[in-house]
Amino acid sequence: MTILAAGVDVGSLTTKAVVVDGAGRKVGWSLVESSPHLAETGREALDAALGMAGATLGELSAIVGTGYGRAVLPFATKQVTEITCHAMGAARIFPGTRLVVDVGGQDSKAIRLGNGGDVLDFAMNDKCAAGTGKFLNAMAATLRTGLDGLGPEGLKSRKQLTMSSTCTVFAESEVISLIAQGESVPDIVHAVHRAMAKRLSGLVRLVGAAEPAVFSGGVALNVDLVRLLEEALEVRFSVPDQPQLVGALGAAVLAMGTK
Amino acid sequence: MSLRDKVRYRMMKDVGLPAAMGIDRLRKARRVRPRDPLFGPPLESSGALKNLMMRHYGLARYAEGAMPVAWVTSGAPVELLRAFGFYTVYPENHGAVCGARRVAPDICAEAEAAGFSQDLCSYARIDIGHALSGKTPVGKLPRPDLLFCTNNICQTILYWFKDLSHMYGIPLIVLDTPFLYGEPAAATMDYVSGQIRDMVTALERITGKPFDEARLAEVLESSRRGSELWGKVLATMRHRPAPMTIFDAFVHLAPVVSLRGLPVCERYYEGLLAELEDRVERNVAAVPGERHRLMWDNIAIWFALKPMSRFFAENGCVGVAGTYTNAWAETAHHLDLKDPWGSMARAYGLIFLNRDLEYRLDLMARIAAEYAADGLVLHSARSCKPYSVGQYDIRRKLSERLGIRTVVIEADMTDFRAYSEEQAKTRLAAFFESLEGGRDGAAAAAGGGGSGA
Amino acid sequence: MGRTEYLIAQKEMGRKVAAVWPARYPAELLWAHGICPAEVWDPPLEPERASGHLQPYVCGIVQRGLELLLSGGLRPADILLFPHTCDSLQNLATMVRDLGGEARRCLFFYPPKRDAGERAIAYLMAQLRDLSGELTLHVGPMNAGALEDAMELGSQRTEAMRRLYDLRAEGRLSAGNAAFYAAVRACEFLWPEDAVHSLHTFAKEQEGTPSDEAVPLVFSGVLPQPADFMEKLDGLGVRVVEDDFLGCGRRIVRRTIPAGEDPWRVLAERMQALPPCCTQGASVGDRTNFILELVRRSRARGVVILDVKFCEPELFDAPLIVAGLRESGVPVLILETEMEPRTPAGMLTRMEAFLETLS
Repeated sequence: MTILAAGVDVGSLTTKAVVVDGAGRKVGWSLVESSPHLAETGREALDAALGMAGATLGELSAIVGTGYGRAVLPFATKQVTEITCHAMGAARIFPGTRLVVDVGGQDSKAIRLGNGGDVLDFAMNDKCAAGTGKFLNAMAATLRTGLDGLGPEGLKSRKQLTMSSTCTVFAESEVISLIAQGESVPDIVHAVHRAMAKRLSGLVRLVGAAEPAVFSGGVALNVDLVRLLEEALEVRFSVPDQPQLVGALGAAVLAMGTK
Repeated sequence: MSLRDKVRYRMMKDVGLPAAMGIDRLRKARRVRPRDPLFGPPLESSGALKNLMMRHYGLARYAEGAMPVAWVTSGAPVELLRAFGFYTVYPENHGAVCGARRVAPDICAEAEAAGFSQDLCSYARIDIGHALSGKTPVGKLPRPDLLFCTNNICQTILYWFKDLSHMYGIPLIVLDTPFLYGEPAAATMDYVSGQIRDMVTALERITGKPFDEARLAEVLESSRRGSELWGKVLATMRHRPAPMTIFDAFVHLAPVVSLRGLPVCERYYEGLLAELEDRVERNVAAVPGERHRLMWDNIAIWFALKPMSRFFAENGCVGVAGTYTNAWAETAHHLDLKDPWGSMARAYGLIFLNRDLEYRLDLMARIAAEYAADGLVLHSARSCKPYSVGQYDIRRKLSERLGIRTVVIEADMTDFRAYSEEQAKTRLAAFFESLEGGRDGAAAAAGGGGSGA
Repeated sequence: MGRTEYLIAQKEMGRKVAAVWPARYPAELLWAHGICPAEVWDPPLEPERASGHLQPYVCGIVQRGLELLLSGGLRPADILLFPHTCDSLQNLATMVRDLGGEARRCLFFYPPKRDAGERAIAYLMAQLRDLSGELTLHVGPMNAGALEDAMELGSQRTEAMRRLYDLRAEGRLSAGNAAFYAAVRACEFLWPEDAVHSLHTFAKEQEGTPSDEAVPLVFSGVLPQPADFMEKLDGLGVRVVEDDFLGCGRRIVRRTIPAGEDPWRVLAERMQALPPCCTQGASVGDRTNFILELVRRSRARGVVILDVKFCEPELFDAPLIVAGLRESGVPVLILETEMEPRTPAGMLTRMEAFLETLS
């Protein structure tokens, strides 16, 4: 029988689960929308991942809960913060990782790793919408591009505009001004991305930029933003295939380690 | 300090800079800017001011190694430093320049990357950011040998300069001027004058030079004269129509802040005053459409001087008075060669920012009356707590007391990242509309644009 | 007995009550005048009325103190004493007196902001006498020998507090963090004799061995805030073994002041002998060394800097102190609180992540 372990990352917007085998390989995963009933959502995500892996709850040797709702998962054998889990997950996908930048729907974090993939230092922004997916959501709504459309739009930009606001509310009104002035959507989107990259680079510099670097979280799929952050920090970022699962993967790897 | 550096400094001062600036002047003279119909003819002295400050920062590049360099706060007794031959740099003025050139967020980001909170004073973040990165729009600032500060303007400069002292590994001299709730006690003035006296000993030790009493007397005299001239310059704005505006005053403030006690400061203001008095005689208006005269509270919004000035003028409003600009004319009259320590203690300990809000209210009411201001704009500067905390109540009290319209705009001196131009313009627009509606003695709850709550 | 009840009882006993704002003030002088100080640090109120007077960028301590005043909570106070601590509190003081119609009962005190040696002592002594004069006008003169008695009570209270801190640092106190700070912070309003008694009782009851598994950490910053944070730390298995909180450990004189002839002078010297503080111009080096000493004496595994949002004196020092601590090989975590009603999840996550790096 294969040894299996799981990690469940319960965020306030989405919940992710990953099942790994003894070698730390993903054999099942899921991503579901979080409901206010975090324990239920956690279970739902875990069941879906188990389904994909063709396994049952009883076969799991350990389950690590992480993320905002980690304390309320009755089936978790251990709780570990998303900082440690993201570091572990990134280092598993890209061995030797020294920096992880994770931008989710509600928060962003920068994590510095040591030689062994251990966390040296971290900085978080979980108070201010600017610098998180929420900022992009708001801009996407104002510009009517849809969240997924932001990246492609930004890449089409040919003119550099500057946005000075770091506050989401101010930025929205700046965007409206730019639209009224007749600026193109791609140029505005690119400016929004640049403002966000500036903000993120400030967060990263608190812990120190380093390579190899990994960009995780849903926002990592925004190629334009990632490129701008690379320019701002003079660092190349690797983006995992499933950037939103990094935390849950790290949790699962930790679970596999604890037997 | 090296002979080579001293020689180079002298060469730049006497030959190099004048030549460079002469060429620059010729180049700029060929560019003719169209006159803005909203405003009267631009002040001719502005050219001389630009040269003066360019020269100051230009010479600053060569001061390091040629003479002792001190970084100084705006309310410090700089006369002592002049008596010992220091080249002085004012980080607050540098901050204002960075604000005006719109580079503050960039330099602040350097400090923030090192862990300094974005909620700290933006002048300080610029200075610390500069210390960490060397970034500056003025070429190069000379590394200080000494930091010299007085907490009459705020406590923040104490924390800021203390950090610099740690980062540069250089001495810091602090003049502790206790905040005054009411008239100062004798013990307080003794404490302040005693510290000033002690500074002479410290400066002798640091520079290795003996104290030159005669030189101090010269400098005190020059300082007082320069400040008095500045006061007269401001007073020309009492005239209807005002020959210059508060936005001009913000810019022309630089010499009395940074070059006080030097002959160039006196000469500059003599020239500016002559030009203004001439305008007054000929009724030349800074804003030909002057309808409403406004007082400005707090430091300038350096990154928005032109647009703010235009917006005022478009609505027939002229800023004619300010608490900030007034500060450098307010207490210099105390300076007295016969009692250097005590008089400096008064000149610096009694500035309005070091005094209670009742004093500030009376001062503001007096200025409003002298300048016939019929409106008050309060800049709630996020960076500046001693200036901004209490403004909501000051606004209400003055509104009641003087029956004038008031408005608060939320901004910062230099960091425009947290500034919403839309918001500020909306409040000002409503305020301007209420001015058109005439005075009625009520606090501007309906028409004043609202306070920041 | 709750704070309010206790202060009412003090008044019934014939004492006066002074509401005292942060941070450093001559408590002995108030006691000598028969005044019981009640410090106003973090009343559990949300700023509603206060936001009509203060911009949002003013710290929670100032906001809440004003809220307490505006809500009538300070009506029973005979005096409002404002020591000068920072720009915001400075302006709050003058707002309250000059614009808030409280001129009648506002008094001020200015601890020197620099090490000016004998000049600072002389200035402090002059201020102490002036303050005594003001207090006399308000509540009457001191009885003969009252100041000496108060100084003695002050010594006893300091001794009791120091002993409690020593026990904790040496790992001989079984009390959790929440219980410890409840005991220490009760001294913000207890009459000195009651304070001494309370501290002695607590030390006696709690002397013992704490859990070995707890992670010992030194805390620096302003206050143990949010209100339930110490309890949360108990739950996380963190033991605060020493602190440099502005309101707590940083106000305990850690060395013995020689007895002197002149109680005014001794009182001034005691104030100047307090640990290095950013609100009084202490150098970054001195502050870092003080914290390192706390780490050494308590064998802590790391330092947590817990600052209040918008607190300038603390936030200017923090990055340089952190760098100095890290250079000395001490792990450091920086936390910022807005004095929320309950510890936010993000704060707990940071704390847990830090603990994970230590394990």
